[in-house]
Amino acid sequence: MNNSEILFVYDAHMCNPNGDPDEENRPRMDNPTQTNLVSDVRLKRYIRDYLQENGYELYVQKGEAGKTVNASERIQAALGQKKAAKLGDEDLQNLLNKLIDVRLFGATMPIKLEGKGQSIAFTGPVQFNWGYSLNRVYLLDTKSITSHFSSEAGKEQGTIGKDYRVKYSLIAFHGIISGYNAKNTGLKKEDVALLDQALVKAIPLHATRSKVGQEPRLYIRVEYNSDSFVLGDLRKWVKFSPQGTNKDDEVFSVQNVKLDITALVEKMQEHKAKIQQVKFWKDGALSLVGALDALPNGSPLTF
Amino acid sequence: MNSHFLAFDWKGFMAHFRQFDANSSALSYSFPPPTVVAGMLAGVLGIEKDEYYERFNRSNLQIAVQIVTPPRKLVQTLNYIFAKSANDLNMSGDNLHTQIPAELLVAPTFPQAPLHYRIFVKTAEAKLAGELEEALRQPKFRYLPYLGSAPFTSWIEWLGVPETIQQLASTEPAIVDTVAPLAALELRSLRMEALDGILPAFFREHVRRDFLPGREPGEVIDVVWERNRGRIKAQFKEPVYRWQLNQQTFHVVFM
Repeated sequence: MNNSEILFVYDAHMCNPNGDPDEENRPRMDNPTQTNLVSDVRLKRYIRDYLQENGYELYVQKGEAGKTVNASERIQAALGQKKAAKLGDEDLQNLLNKLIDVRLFGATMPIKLEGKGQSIAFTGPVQFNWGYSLNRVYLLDTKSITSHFSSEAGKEQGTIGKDYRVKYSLIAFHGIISGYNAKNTGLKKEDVALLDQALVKAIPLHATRSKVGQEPRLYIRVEYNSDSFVLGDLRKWVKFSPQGTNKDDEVFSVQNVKLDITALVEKMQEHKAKIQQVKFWKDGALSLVGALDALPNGSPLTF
Repeated sequence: MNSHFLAFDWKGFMAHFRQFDANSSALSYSFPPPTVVAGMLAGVLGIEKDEYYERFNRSNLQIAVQIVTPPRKLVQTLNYIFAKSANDLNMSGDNLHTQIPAELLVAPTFPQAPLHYRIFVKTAEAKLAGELEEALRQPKFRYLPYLGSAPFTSWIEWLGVPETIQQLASTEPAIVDTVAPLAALELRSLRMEALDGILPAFFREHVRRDFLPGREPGEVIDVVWERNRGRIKAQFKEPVYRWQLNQQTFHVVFM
């Protein structure tokens, strides 16, 4: 498989893109620069949830309510076995064929193979960097919220927590698909197509209380013609500027966003001999400077 | 035996170089220590984990790191899977998560500019020098380079092989541009002396120099780096190399 690089931009309006569990669940921030942060794990979670909701079997997945399935049981279930048994190379292939999240993101599994110790680690070919906001982000004053869940069993009153939200954050992620690593997990072309789809579709479907107000805005996947070349972090060539206001704190919605990808298009043109194809998708509400059609071998994503 | 030299820039928006003696908090060095650079270079060549330690040992490959932009640290708490055994790694344990504070590195002007390290390499092995140059110049990677940890994707900009290289006489004080092993400095030769009107701010870190075959931990050394100018003026008892590279001069001491 060839290498790919991904640029994925989504926005968050009056919600909490990724809370820091040790900071009263405040949105993750780099405070000196007012940059909002989102972990790679948060993004992978959207993808896993999307795949599970669409009927794909996963290794790391939410179990049925009240039922925990440990990793060994999970592996046995995926292989259709009732009891733990020593696994051979063929079983390993079957597991990879069944579990798309392992093919994409890798996993450590408690599998005993001859001479290979107590567990097997698959390095995932798909890796995302942490996402960061392209604009300065302002947090809204919090109100206390109450929960029906008490802190301890037997207590009558619920707990009180804080509810921090960002005013508006335009978040950019960079991702890499390593063709060289893809061999180890058996990543398929169909999996990559599904990843394209999941990134564009998953976030609006994940409309929990803290995540309502998030929309995907731009997705570009550059597929190179080898498994050994990448340009490295496509966000270098993307520029944000506010639209309809000069003040950062008046950037309140996608209407106030202008994204300039001219430098990215030029960079791709410069390296077009190394590019097999570019898949792209753009939300209609986003103002873009620079034409997606001008990306070499570019074609819009269709689902 | 002739030595072979090459240099490249290593950049990315975020990094994490876990300190080997940190426990439950994932603290980070401010720069990639030699074990991280060696691991990344081995990965670029497609050499598997646990198969490169002998060839990338300090006796064959030496590494120096210049901190071009002094990084800023920010702490983010991460939700890890709480696993008491490999059986819990699919989030099936009683407590699903455990919170781990992690130090992440960013450039002072993040996200406008990336982190920037300059790596100098010296090897006794012509074949290894050739392979590294071929991989880094194009660039052409097997495993892709990460700044310390898989979520921190990065890129490499080839600088080249030095036009000239010269070993300085050890009788004169030198100003080096790289992180320096404390043992390379003459006793009490480090001065709080302003360079271009800026007083230095020295930091000490405790790093592992290399791995031995079988992933046996190698020697641990103390190193010193300077935050304001990235330069250290001292009397050195280990070789200081003056590199002429792309019309620029660098003074390098290997870790």
